[in-house]
Amino acid sequence: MVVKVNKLVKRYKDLIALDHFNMEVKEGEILGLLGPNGCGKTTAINCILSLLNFDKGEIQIFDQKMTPNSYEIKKQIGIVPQEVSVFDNLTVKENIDYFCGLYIEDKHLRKQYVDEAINFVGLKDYLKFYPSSLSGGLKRRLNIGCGIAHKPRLIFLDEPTVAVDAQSRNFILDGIKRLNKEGSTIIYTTHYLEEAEMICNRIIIMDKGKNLVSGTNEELKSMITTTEKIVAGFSDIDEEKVEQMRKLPHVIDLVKREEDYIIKFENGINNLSNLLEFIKDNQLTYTKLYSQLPTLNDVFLELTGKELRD
Amino acid sequence: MSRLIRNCIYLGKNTLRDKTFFFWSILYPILMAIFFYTAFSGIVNQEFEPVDLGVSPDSYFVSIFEEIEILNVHEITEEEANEKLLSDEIYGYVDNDLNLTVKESGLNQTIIKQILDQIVQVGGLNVPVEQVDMMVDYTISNNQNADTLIIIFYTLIAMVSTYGVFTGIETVSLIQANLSEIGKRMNIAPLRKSDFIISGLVGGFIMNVISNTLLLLFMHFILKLNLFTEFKYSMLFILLGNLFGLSLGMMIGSSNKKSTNVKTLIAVAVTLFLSFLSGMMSPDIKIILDEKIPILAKVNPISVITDNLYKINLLGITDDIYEGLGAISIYIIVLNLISYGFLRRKSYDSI
Amino acid sequence: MTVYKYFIKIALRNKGIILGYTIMLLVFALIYGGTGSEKIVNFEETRLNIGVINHSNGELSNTLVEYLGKNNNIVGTKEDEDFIKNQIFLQAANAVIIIPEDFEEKVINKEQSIEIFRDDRKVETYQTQNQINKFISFANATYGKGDFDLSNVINALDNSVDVNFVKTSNGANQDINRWFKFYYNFVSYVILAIYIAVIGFVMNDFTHMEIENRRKVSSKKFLNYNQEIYLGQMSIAIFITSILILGSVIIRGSQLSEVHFSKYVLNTLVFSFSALCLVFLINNITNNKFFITGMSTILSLGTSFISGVMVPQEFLGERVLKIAKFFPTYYFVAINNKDIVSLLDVRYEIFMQLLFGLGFLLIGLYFSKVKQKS
Repeated sequence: MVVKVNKLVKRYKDLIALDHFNMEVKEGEILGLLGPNGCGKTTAINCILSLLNFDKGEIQIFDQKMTPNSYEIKKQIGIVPQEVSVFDNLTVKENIDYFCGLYIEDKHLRKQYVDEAINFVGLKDYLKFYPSSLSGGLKRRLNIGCGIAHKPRLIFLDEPTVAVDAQSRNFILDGIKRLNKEGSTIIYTTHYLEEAEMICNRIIIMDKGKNLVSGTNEELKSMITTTEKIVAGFSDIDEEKVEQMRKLPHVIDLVKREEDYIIKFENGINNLSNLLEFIKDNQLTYTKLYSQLPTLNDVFLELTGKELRD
Repeated sequence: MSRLIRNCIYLGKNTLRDKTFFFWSILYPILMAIFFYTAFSGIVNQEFEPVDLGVSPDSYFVSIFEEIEILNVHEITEEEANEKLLSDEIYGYVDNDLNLTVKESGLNQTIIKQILDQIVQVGGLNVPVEQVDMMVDYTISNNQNADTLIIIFYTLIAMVSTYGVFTGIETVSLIQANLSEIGKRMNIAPLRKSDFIISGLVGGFIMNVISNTLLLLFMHFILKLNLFTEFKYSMLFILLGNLFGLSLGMMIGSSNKKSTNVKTLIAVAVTLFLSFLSGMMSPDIKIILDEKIPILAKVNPISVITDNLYKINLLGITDDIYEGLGAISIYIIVLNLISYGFLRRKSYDSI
Repeated sequence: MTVYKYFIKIALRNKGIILGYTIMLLVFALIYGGTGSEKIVNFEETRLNIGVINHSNGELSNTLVEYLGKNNNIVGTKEDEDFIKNQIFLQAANAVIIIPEDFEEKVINKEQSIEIFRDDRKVETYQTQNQINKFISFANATYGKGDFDLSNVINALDNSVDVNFVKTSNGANQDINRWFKFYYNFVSYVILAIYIAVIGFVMNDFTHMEIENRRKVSSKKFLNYNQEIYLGQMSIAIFITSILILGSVIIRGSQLSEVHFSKYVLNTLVFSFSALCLVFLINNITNNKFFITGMSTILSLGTSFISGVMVPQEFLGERVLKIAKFFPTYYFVAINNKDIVSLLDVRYEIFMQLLFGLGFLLIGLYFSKVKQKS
């Protein structure tokens, strides 16, 4: 086990930030830590890394207890914090070299690692640039470069794609996959569902400092009753027709969102054709009609009754 | 060891390229030196100009006054005199009975008064005037250095020697996970906090000593001020000032969670205020304070450095420097103990 | 008026700067006010602390010490150079004299005889040297038949002239006036430093918003926006200047009638105007926070030093004053130092400050035009 967190409790005065939080991370996986803003993701990571002290619980990394003085463990960890945290007055290359040097003492090896990291984050053309002259996306890449240059066994990435343009975001996500392929175990926090779905092997969904559920993408989706969601828009429909629609077979819920109706079904067979028939029989005119498979947002919605993102 | 040096070099580079450092540690002290020099050189190099004195035209003493070199006699009536006194065209007016009228007291007025006093006193002596020889100086002056305003430059040096305060603040902020984002990285890296702080402080110390040296060179070669007769002891105080500055910076940096900008402003304000009290802007302030609250000079570290630089170099007294060295050392120890208390914690309650 | 309100709110967030400078001004005003006034009123020679070591013990030397003791306080000392220097340094003594054994002989031969240590920092200590020389010269003048006529000398030295103070037509009391001069001269330093820093910082915060707003609002509204900004700047300026004027009223309120108070107020208001114009110019050149901090420190201190705030104008070199004339502070200080009958007496200096204000305004407008074009 790379990381094992057992019943972690962290209080800020009256606020319980982590409430018996559990987490296990296996060698070689990309674990997504998912949850709305303020659910305790960053607090959990800071506790795991011994930056924050906590009230109760156990934390092990590489099967050893993690403490502020666990230098041997620290050597094998890389972190990419949420905020860009680099020296303003050191160049791109100097920054990466500096942080790499905190881990790698050997000069030649370090030079090699730094060059590899620079290529990895694609900042080769910006070696002599100062961070302030880089765009937001490039700054994020530098932030990542500083965290991974020493080829750590375990990497924490705390929302590395916040406020990043689409191009840099894809670049970063691809990079994370590559790091994983090269052998690093990755813990990735985000509140972007699509990202977690795209790259994570396993996902833990958190809310209010607790684990809600964990499992693979598919496992999570199979946990919920909704299996199909049909979005329909009508040019003419009255309340009576809506109520009739609600009573169609397998419909478990029907909500109106803006101009559209979202109809949820509990099993996935013939739902769309049943609905089409109903439309034809009642001579309704639809403006849109499509079927959606459940997303992690649906999972979260069903478990907590609220949207993951607002 | 190579790690420490590497850390030193990178932190040094980071500071050196920081324009805040360049401004406060290099440009600002030199500009201050130039301001002092322009403002005070007038006093230091002042050539004595004759004092303008109004005298009643029909006064018996006009011819006597005209013989006195330092007086510039204007024969005017009393009505004219009032106006000229108010507009500062003359500093005093003497009527027929040797009564003096002035607008306010001051150096020039005192000179006039002393001349008049002497005239009536010689008159009262009842000996022939020729016998009174006022040209002899019977005193042997023991003041080798007359360049008194140099004390202002000692204050400036004392203040600038504490400017390691900025590196102190910066270093602490970089290693504390609750103060900066970089601090998080540092805390997660396999790096001892003490190693980082030591290398940061050593780097800061070296750079501030270099910036001090630049200022001293500027004063010596460009402004041509002769500040040091006792180089060894003077350096001792300047170096101690550096250590004090770094310690103060660490204390300011570690004791609260305000932004680095705010802390820098606090540091500038504290050092500037202490320097004001040591007589930097106006030497009178220091003389007044020394008279009224003498303890202040012994507890204000910038005063301690200023006073000792003055004593060592201008008065040549070196045997009681230990009191000053001791006072600053106590400050350094106390500040560092406080900082240690704040820095000791390994993980934080909140970030 | 949302822009205006927001402006004031951000500006008052910089209360540290406003408070810091104001407190410094008040502290110095109090230190300055607590001293000096007594010695000026009587126009007497200052009583100094003089240490005496008398090896001669003859009549001449004893009478000299007696004479010195009449006008000064005689304090104990020790014949050790380091001790004496320290004593003077600590102001336990302002001067120390050592009278040699062969004092009388040397005096008769008109040789240098008395060793004197003076406090270089105090100009008044020259008077000790003068008193000694005068006493000995007088004594020597009475020397005949192997004797000094010392009682005659002492009697003669008792004479002095009367000093009258000229009555100013406005009845301004010069000693009180001196404090007000000091206070208001220092105010110019504080005004420049606070204005540049506080208003500069707010403008820095606003530039980001301004860019937003430029895109959003029509040109008519943009004009309104700017009006509110300038109204905000003016309010802050008036607020700060009022605090500073109020400071003098609080400390020396009972003496306002004894000085030409309206002169100081008018002068400060005019100076505030030109300072505000200078801020307008600076803000049109840069909105870099670092540059603004630098300007605030350097311009305020620099102009203070060359214009006679820290050191009186009469002590400044001619060349320095020539440079100073290119800054409004020079004229501001000149008005404070001037004794006037009516406000018309300072019209030239007022005019110059206004002229500088307008000049800054025009150059500022030029820079803002240049910026808009690019």
